[in-house]
Amino acid sequence: MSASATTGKRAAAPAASTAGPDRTFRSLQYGLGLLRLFTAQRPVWGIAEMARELNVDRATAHRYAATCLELGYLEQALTRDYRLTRRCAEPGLAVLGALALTGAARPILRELRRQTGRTVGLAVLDGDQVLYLQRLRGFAYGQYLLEKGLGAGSRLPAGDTAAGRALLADLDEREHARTRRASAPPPQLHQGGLTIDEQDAPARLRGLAIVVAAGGDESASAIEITVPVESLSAAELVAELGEPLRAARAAVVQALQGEQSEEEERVA
Amino acid sequence: MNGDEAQGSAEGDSKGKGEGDKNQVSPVRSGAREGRYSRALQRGLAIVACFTAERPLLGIRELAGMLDMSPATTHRYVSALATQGYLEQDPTSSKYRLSLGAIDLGMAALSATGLCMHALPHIEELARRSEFAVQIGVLDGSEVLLVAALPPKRRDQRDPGCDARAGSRLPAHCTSLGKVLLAYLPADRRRELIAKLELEMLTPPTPRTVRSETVLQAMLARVLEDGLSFSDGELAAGACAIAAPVRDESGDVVAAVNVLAQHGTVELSELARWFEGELLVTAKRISTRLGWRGEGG
Repeated sequence: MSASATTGKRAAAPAASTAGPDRTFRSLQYGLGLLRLFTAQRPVWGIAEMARELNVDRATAHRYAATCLELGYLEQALTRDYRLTRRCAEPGLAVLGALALTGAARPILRELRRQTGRTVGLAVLDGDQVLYLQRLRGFAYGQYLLEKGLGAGSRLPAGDTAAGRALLADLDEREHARTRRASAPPPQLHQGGLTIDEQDAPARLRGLAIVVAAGGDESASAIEITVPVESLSAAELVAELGEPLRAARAAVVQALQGEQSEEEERVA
Repeated sequence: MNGDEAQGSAEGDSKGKGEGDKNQVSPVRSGAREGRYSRALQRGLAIVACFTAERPLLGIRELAGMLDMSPATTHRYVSALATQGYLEQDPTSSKYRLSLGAIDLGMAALSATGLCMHALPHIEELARRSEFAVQIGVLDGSEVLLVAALPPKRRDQRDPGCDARAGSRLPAHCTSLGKVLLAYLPADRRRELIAKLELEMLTPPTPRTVRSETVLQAMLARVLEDGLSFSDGELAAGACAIAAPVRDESGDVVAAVNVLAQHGTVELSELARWFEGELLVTAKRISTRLGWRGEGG
């Protein structure tokens, strides 16, 4: 990735007379960049705000927004501000759906949620963030209020989550050459493969995570259970959910191996 | 096909929905030749949309064929998308696939904005059409947590003294929302939860409130059969409601939506006859918005 070209915040585009490839590049950069502005924290945007954030004039922002609207990627609220449509999720769903890991883990995570009533997730490390490949909200007391609308495809700073800490610790162990990121304090507990993490903000929650070992060239992932901090102490969390979490990991590993051998059979 | 910024398809409609000013802003940077839509963005999104979970790997020629574009143009777009982090090349086949960066294009549409926001346009529509109160709630322990509650439009339905609002908690066993949410729990969780309620010990809010585990279990079995739940004067005398399940991407029931009548103005049977269909459609629309892909998904 060329760094200068991918930071969505370049100076305003030069005059439009430039020839094809550059303009294509820029249109994609701003047009797709416009869709990327929409996040959990800011789901609704107006033209002026988009223009300011992308550093383009309002007419340009409007044109990209109108294109997305016409194609069904954006919809307009009553206030004429814009928000994403269901259709926008298709590329993301396609990415997640194509990963062997997501398919293997899906029924197991569902079962884990059913069994525990807690919010469960599957995450990988992407830079200094965790990316949730799946996140299923629990139905036990207090679980709903923990959620800030996090779902599959959402990202959080790795150091702020149990899954992220587990993955950073795992990375540390596997690659001695790599230094641990300074921003991630050591896990409060890292025993028997379980990592505990506590957060005060945005919600008071406590997470427990376990790493699913990487097979082949796949990157490691972690299964995470999140609970309201007042519902279970750290010790209770391990006692009550440690075993289901280990069992879920074993099941995911087994499902992945099953898929691999099926693949080999098909190839053979 | 010269010039990626040639006019888009729907040019003529210059009055449109907006005020004139938006289209009249001096076209210094956006370019006088450019139409109302960006063709480059149209094509970029079209390329991204070619990739699906079932068809994750595509070569330049395949893409060109699918989109009716020349291989050279396709290649230009694909390289731009790859440089910007949305596509990556498979080293063995040289074909392309979506990279994790494509998730950031709009996965937020599914869940990042939350149940309430996804549900709101659909329950507003239901509230408008039915003129009765509409609520959506999730199970939170043994209670229903209201995520959104819309007041009734009908005069005879209004109740200034007792308005359930977002954030209110209601008992699960005697509300239509609660019965849906309990019914779709896994059987062991359901039994455990109902046992914890100690129905026999509770002071029933009305004489019609269910007071036995066995009866409640039978009611819930019925909910699973019908795909709908009912409550009739069980939380408040003269109030009745019907509720339907809302599913998320995993296929599990994660919320329930209802239509509620108060003050004894309407019989449950009438309410059901009038709104059952619309309620089911609303629940399905919200489920789709949350990523549910139908019975098979």
